[in-house]
Amino acid sequence: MYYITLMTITLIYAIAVMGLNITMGYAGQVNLGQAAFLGIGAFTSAILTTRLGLSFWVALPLSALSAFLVGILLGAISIRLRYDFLAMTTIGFNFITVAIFLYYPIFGGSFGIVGIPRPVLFGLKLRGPAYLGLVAAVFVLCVLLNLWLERSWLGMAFETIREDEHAAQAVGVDVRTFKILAFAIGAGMAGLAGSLYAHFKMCVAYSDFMFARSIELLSMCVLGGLGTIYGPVLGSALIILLPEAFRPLRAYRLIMHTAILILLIRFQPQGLLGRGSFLQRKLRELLGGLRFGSQ
Amino acid sequence: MAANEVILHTEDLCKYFGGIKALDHVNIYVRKGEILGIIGPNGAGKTTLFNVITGFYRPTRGAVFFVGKKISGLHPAKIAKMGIGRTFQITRPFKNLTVLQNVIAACGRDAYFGLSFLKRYRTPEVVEEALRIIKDVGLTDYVDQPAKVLPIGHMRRLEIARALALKPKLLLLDEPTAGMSAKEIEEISELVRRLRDEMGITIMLVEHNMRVAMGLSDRMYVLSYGKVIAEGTPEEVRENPLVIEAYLGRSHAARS
Repeated sequence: MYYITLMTITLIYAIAVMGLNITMGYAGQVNLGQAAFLGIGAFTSAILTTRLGLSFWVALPLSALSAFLVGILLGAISIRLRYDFLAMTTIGFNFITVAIFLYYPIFGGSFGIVGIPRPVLFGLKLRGPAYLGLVAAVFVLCVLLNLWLERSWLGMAFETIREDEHAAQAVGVDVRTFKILAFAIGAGMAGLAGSLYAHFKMCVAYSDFMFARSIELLSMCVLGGLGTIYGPVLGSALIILLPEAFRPLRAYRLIMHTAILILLIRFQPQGLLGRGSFLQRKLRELLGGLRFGSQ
Repeated sequence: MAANEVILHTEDLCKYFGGIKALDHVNIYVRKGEILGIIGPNGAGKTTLFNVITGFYRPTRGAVFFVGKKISGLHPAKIAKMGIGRTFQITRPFKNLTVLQNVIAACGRDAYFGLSFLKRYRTPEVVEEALRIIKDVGLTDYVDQPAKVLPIGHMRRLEIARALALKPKLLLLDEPTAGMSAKEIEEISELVRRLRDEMGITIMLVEHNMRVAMGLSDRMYVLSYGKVIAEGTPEEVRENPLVIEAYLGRSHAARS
C-alpha cells in the first residue's frame, strides 16, 4: 500500500510538472506559480463533487478546463513580460490565488474542503491500485499529448518563442497567441493533476498550493530536464522518492532540495535528461539511435 | 509594365523615439524585381525603416503599403505571412534548433494561423522544401547541426534561408555582410544576386560596406538623420554632393 501511495503521488506530480515543462521547457516562459493551477483544479473538482454532487468523471475535465481558462488569463497578463518580471508576476499570481482560496467561504477557508468522494467506475470505488491505474491512465494520456505537441506546429511555435521572440515573429509566429496557449496548456495539465490530487487525498486546503509547492514543482522540472518528455517523470520520482529512501535525513529535506538545485545549475543546467546532458549522452551511446528528449 | 510595378511604398512615414526623429517623412517606393539599396551614416534610421516595414515598430505617422494594401499597424507575424521576409543586423537564429528545424519553423507561415497548428510539422513535403532551401544557400553540410555552432557567415545564410522559407515576395536584408571576410562577402553578394535573378525576389538591402551596396543595388536611397537625402542609381548617388556631405562632412563636400 505504501508503495502504491508513493507511486500515485509521484505520477500526480509528474502530470503537473509535465504541464510546467510545456510552459517553461518548450515555450521558455518562466512560471513560478504552477501550484496555483494545481489548486484551481483541485478546488474545482472538490466543489463540483461535494457541493454540486457531480460525478468525478465530469469534474475531472472541468478542472482541466477551469485551470486552462485561468491560464489564458495569466498568459494574457504576462504577454509583455520577460525573465525576472515574468517570474515575479507568476509568484504574485500564486499568492493571490492562495489568498482567494483562504478568504472565500466556497473554498472552505483554512480548513478547506473535506469528504471529497472517491471516483466510482462500474459501481466500484477506485482506491489503492485501482486509483493508481486511473492516475496512470491520465498520465499516459498527458505523455501522448506531449509527444504530439513535440511534433506539431504548435510545439515548433513554442520552441521558436523560447529561442528568440523577434525571430519567431519574423517567421510568422504570432508570439502573443502562442505565449497564452503555452500558459493555458501547462495550466490545464496542472488542473488535471489537481483533480486527481483532490480525489486521492479526499480533502484539500489552501495550504497545499502555496508558493513552496510551486518551487517543488519547479525543482522537479529542472532536475529532470527542461524541454524533454522524460524529464518531468524522472524529476518527480527523484524528488518524491529520495527523501523517502533517506528517511533519517528528512529534517534536512529543504537543504537537500536547495543543494540539488545549486549543483544542477552549476553542472547540468539542462537537467539530468536535458539536451546534451551527461545522462542523455550516455543513454544515447547505450541505446544507439534511440532519441531521448526533444531534438 | 510589370518591370515598373511598385511592390512596396511608404507615405510620409515617421517614427519618433521621444525627441529623436528616427524616420522623418520618408517617402520611398520599391519596384518589383529590383535590388534596392538603403545606405546612410550610422543612426540614419535604416534599421528603423526595416523595423517599421516589418511591423516590429508602429509608425508615429504615415503608412506603409505592400502590393497596394496598407500593412503598417499589422502584427509582424501577419506581415511575414503576407510575404515580407527579413534578416537581422545581429543574427538571431534559433540557437538550440538544428539548421533544418530553423528553416522548417519558417515553412509554417500558414500553419501558425487558425487551428492548423495542431498538425504534424515534419511531413515529407515540408522537409523536402526545407532541404531544397538549405541547399540553395549552401548549408547542406550543416543540416543536423544546432544553429549555435555555425560561424557567423553561415548564420547569415541560415537567416536568409529562414526568410526564403516564407516564400517572400520582398526580402529585407539588414547588413548581410557585416563582420565577414572578403571571401564570405563575395559569396553572400553572389547569393543575393541569385535570389533576385533566379527566384525573382525583390530585395531591399541595408549595407554599410559601400562597395557591396554600390555593386549590388540597381537603385539606392540615402538616409541621413531620418530623412531621404538622395535617390538614384549607384553612380548618381556617388556623385551627389549631399551624400558626400552626409558621410564626410561639409568641408570635404566643398573641396571635391
